[in-house]
Amino acid sequence: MNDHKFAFIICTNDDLLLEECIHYINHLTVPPGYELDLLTIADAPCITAGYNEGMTASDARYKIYLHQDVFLLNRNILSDLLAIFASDPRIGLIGMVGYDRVSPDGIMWHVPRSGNLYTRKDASRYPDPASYRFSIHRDGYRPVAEVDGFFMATCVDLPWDTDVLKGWDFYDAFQSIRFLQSGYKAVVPVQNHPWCLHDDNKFLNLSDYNTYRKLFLKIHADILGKDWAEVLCTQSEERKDT
Amino acid sequence: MRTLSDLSKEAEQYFRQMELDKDAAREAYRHILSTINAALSTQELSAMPGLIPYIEEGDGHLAFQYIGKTHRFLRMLHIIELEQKYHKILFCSDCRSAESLWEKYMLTLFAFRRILFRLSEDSAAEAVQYLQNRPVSHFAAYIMTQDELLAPDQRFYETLASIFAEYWSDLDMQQFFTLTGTASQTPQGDLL
Repeated sequence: MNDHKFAFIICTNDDLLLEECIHYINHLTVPPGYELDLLTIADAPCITAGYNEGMTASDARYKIYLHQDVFLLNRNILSDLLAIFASDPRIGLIGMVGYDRVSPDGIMWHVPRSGNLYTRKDASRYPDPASYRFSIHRDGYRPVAEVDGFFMATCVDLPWDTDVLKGWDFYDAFQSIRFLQSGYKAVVPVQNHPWCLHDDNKFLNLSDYNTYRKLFLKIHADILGKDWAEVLCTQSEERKDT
Repeated sequence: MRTLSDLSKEAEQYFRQMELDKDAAREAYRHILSTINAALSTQELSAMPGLIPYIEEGDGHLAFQYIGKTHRFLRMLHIIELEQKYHKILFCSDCRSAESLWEKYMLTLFAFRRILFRLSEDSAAEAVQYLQNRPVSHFAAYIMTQDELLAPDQRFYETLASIFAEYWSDLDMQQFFTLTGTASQTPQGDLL
């Protein structure tokens, strides 16, 4: 494992979006002494298989699983991620948007949200991306139970669940819980200005979302409605028992 | 205020309805694409605005409800309708398929964002060059800046006006600033 390397891992089906996504990645400041890899997976049968392929192909310690329709605005994001990971060795997963507890109905956005996203309705003017600075001491981060899948940065490799997840939905909820149940915290930085723009058109396309939501409710029935600490604690207690 | 239980019931109802609607939504989306493709390939463009009531009030609303791309196609149709009405060069004039129309729209949007975010001098210059090579009407600039995911400011509107200074008439320019609710400015020639 190369501790001084980042890898962006992107499953893609749209060259236009991918090229633009990469344009923003190419403008990031890479911390001194670090390398940056980019793995794009165009023919994945499902997102978990694509992410596993990217995960095993890269020796980077820090992996950022990114949607092709995400444009990174915080040019210092890589240094900021390092600072957050370094602040607590139990942090395994960082998102840009997250949810404090597991929604009882499985739908993330039905519970309070942490994080920030670029919106057009924000009345305040966004700063020039070059001038934005995050401070882990001044701004900090919030622990969450689940992070939204458009951006998931990790510092440990936990396999994505290809046994259960064979589509493009709900992988983020399952993976977040996997991190918490493996003893790692998931956190979202406090972003005074959004670190990325997610051009997802705000729609669930016709998909298997509900099928996987029901699976999530069934498999994770014991943690529905619980907050991140309870999910983490549950696992710690289970670990002690075993 | 809606409770979590209300939200869950609404979600269940939404997914049930989506299951019932999905074939019709896909069929409506296919119809939208085939109509646009036929119009662009034959350059019989008069049929295109007819899709607006189909999407807004007719069977096409299911595509609008469930398939995100329909929203952007509807925006393009509104742009083209305005351009036809005011005898402007059409946004779709150099497109021969729905795919190329989509590509032009997205690349225009990406160029707008590159100018707004100013990632680097090269990035912004490339975007300006793209827009000057494939200019769009003030209606297109207006609708995209109002409806897309970008937060423009006065400076951005002025930059667009400068980029399109040779393409937009004085009246277009005036109308653009009126529509965007910003003070009318004479383009200064400083693109960035």
